[in-house]
Amino acid sequence: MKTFKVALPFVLCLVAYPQDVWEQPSSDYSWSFPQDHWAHQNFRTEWWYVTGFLESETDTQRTFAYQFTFFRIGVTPNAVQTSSRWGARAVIMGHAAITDLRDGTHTFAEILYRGAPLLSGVGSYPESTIAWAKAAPGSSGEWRLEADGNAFNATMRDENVGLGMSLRMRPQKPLVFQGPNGFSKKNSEGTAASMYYTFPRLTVDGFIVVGNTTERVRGTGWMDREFSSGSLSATQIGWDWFGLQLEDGRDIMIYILRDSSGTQDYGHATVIDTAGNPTYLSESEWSLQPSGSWTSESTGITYPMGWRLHIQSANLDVDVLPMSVQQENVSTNVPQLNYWEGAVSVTDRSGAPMGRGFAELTGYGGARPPV
Amino acid sequence: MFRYFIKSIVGHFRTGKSLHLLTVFGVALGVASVISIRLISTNAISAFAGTVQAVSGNADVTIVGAEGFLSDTAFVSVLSTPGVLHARPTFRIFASTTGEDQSRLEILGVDLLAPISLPVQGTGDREAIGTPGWIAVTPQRATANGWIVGDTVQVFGGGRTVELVIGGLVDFRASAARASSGLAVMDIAEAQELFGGIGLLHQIDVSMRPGTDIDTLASRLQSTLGPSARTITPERRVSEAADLLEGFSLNLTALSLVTVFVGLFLVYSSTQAGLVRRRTEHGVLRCLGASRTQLILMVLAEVTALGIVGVAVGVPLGYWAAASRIDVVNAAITNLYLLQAIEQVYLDTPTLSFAVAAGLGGAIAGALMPAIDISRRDTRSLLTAYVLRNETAQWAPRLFAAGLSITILTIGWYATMGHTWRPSGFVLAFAVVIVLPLITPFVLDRTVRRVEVRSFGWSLSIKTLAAHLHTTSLTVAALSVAVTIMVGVTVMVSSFRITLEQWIDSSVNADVYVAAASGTPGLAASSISNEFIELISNRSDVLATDRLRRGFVFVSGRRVVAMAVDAPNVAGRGSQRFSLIRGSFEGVFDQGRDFRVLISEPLARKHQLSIRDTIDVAGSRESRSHIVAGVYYEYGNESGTVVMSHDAFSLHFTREDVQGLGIYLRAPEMVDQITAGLREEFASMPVSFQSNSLIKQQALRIFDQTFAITRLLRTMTLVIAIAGITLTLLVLTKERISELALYRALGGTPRQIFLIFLGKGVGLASFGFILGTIGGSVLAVVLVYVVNRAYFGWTIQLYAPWIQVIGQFGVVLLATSIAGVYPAWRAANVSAAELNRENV
Repeated sequence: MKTFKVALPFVLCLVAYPQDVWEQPSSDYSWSFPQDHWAHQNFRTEWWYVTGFLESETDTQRTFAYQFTFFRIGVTPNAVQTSSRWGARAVIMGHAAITDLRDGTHTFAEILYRGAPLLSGVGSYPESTIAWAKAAPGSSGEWRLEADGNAFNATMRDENVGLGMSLRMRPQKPLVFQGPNGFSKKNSEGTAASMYYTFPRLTVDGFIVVGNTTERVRGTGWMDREFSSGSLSATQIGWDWFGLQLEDGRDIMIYILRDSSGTQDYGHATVIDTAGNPTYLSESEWSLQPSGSWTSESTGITYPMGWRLHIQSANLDVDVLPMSVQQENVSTNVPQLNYWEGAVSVTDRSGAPMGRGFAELTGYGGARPPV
Repeated sequence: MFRYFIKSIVGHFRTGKSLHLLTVFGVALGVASVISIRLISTNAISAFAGTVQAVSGNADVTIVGAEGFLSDTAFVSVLSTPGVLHARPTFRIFASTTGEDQSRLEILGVDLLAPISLPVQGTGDREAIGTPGWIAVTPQRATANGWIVGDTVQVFGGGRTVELVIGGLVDFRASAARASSGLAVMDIAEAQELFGGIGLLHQIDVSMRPGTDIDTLASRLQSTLGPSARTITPERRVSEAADLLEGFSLNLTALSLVTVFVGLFLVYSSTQAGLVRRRTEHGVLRCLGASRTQLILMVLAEVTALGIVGVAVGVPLGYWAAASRIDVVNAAITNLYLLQAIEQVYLDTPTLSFAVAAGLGGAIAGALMPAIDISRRDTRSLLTAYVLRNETAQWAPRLFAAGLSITILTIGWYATMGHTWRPSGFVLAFAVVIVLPLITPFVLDRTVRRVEVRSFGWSLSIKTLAAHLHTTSLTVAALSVAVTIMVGVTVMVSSFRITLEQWIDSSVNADVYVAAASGTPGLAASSISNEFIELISNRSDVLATDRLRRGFVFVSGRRVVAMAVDAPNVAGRGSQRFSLIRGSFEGVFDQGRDFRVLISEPLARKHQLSIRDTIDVAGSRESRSHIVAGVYYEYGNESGTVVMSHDAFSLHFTREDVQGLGIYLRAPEMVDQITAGLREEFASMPVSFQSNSLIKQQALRIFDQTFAITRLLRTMTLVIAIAGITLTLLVLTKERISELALYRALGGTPRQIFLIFLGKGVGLASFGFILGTIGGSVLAVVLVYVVNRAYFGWTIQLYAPWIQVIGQFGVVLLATSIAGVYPAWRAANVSAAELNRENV
């Protein structure tokens, strides 16, 4: 008999659940767009992950890095047989953050609700809503991700921390599968995997609210879509992920999955050319070495901070450096859910700028990954 | 002196065992009585508070529905309110297992997927959400019922029979030690679905963001939710529950303190007897230079030591009394006040301190007078005997005058100032029990002096009571106080019962009553459908129906019951259910008038309202003023009731549901057959049918359960008093040993002496009973007309239950006779050889 603290610690713990009742990722998954932009409730977990950079239209020297994410964590794969407005088969979690790159201020907001009609949920094609949730307690408004034929619209508001965004995001490059047919292996055997695709370049415009200020903004974005029913293998504790947009028009996605000893258990890289064609690289074809570290004052967690990335076939030997170290997301809703999600710059070995992007570092210092 | 005290005390305890045992006994019973009542009161509140803590956790504000429930959309509004950090919804249902044990569960439908922490052990949350009927019960309940995870149990709640699966164990006592073991948890969606409560919540617990002002948040929430919700802190909920119990616990505490008072007499008697026996020793000590203060301190130290033993015996005895009568107390508390019953009795420090203070204080107070008395004597008088009687006889008129003065002062105080003070009734009641002992010596002395001794028998028994006034008057006083309590409470309870019977007879006047199957507010099964009402109304055997709707409203900030009825004109029966004290029904039930209302007597008294006054009634829909058309007798609800027409009711409430239906039959004599027929015909509907007589029986059963606890207290008081008589007779045996020897020397037979002593016992009992009956009658008047009106607001018609009182006299007489046998036997066995020169 195990003790469980009802709710997220276990909802979010994939390994605690038998996988056979959920649909499993497959290399011959039959994609259907645009429906696949919407939820897949027969898979256990799913997320819509947007990161990018925004410039103030009124003060072009002022730039922001942003994150907007919806997670769906399935509780049961079965449809809910109740007329109660509390009926739920999933939990909806939202994370959003804006970092003011001029002064390094990082503001994080989160929501967490059962996927019940009263509080949050996911939509289904062809309705416009992909996911929505009531704003965090103490705040009015909603979080919402919608799609129309041409663009995604992301809105959120949290009056408690003074954060809001209303962004319209149009794909600038076509959708890219992160692995053959979007089947993204998370270990060498392929027993842990997800279905994964990316819009590596988005054109973004809209409004953001930081503190008491509302800014009209425009900029760029990167959207990851991933769904699975258990994307980490039993021995893996977290991952390092990078989505880099190079100035020459290429994009690079890299992830490393770490085991409990902290060493790399599995890794993958995709180089996307200017036309949006991916090249999948095996672990031996690239290397990513940490070049520094940073310890968070609020959580005490030490993260690697600064990397040297070498991809021979892409003729890349670059440094990836944080634009600000203060980009750690610390959840108050879920104990131990702390991770670093932040803007990074890409420079050549002489320090000349070559691009920028986002890094995500999870599972450090005993923290749990978001899902 | 201290060394002498230490060395002598063991010896004294050894030689005067019976006296010391009686001191211990008096203290122990007083302490037991106080502690048992305090335990009951504090544990009833603790049980409620424990459950509040378990359910609300560390919430800053709790929101409940003004009508007992909230719409679940209120939760969304709460979430949006600035200052809210977390909000936790609760759907609550009370259910009972359908097996023989009828185990009661308070099922909490909570959001199991919210970021909250509940101490659940068992299956994971996937099972909690995905398994139909998944429920987590407390380990205590699982053990008591022999349930294990995976078991299926059937419960009845919300008017439905539901099958549940024990999916886990939730140990609320890990965080709230006194939480009810009947608490159970299931997911809110499942609970709403299974128990017919779709769209309903019963409570929202809110935690506020750091830096938020609690009053600001509460007022924001109240303004967001409007009058349909009530915002309250958990502490306030507990204090409201304590307020509800105030009258109940105050009455019982007062009764228990009377037991201490009676125990104090016992201590007085035994101390005095001990001192009489040891007067030579005290005389010698004084000769050797002991000061008066040293003598007093020595006596008080001895009594304190005995008091400590008495407390040590009384505390477990009281705990046992409370623990063994939990069922009786719970019946009273859960019937009338709170839904949470006491499960375990916990002894806390304040209760223990109170009991120790009452026990030791009572012991010292009881011994103080005899100690002072003995210290004041000169050495010579201590070394002689037979001096006490004269002094007591001298004091008797002064004590009587003091008693008379207290009576006059108390009545004067009450008439001029005290009557506006709520607890003034208790002052009057205590005055009665204080005055009685004061007047007893004088009354006893004057009465027995008139007795002429014609033979060596009963008349001598009575006559000699005055000869030993210092001992006998105390015993009579103790017994009279005990009888005062017994008679006072008996008269009050009997009067209340007869009044209630008459009230029920007039107010429960429909032939059959239909109740919604569930009493949980807001559920589908807590209302009766219009289709059903129409079906019933159209039956050929039904003459008329009377729809009942109930809800809570606020009058001057206090929560009272609002009730709507049709009051059909069935030979006057419809409106006769309200026995008017004053006013009329005009404008109340005839539609289209100005929505006049009737108010219950408790409401009228507590808000000082009368006919033609305006009453502001705030419902969950709107507030409105009404003119009071009449005030009626009401004994079902002490917080107050406003009765109005259905149209007027709809002004205050958004809900239209009917919760009860009275049926007037064309052939009332056929009520049992028709009720049985209705039950059969509508077996599948969530309603219950009860005949007029069954409703009346249930009401009286609840009443009897409520007052069962007073029987326990009455018995304890009486036991102390009867012990006092035994003690007195024993003291007399010891003290008058030379006198008895003289009787024997003069030719008195053991049988004659036996009968004289038995006669003394009977005489003491008779005097005590007569004085007590007079005191009890006065006490009954105080309880009925002052205490009840102040705390409950209702008028009880005073009835004298003579048969019961005579029966009690018989019991007292029998008990005292039996108690007198041993002392009488000892007296009868005194030999003429024990006559000595000094005592003659």
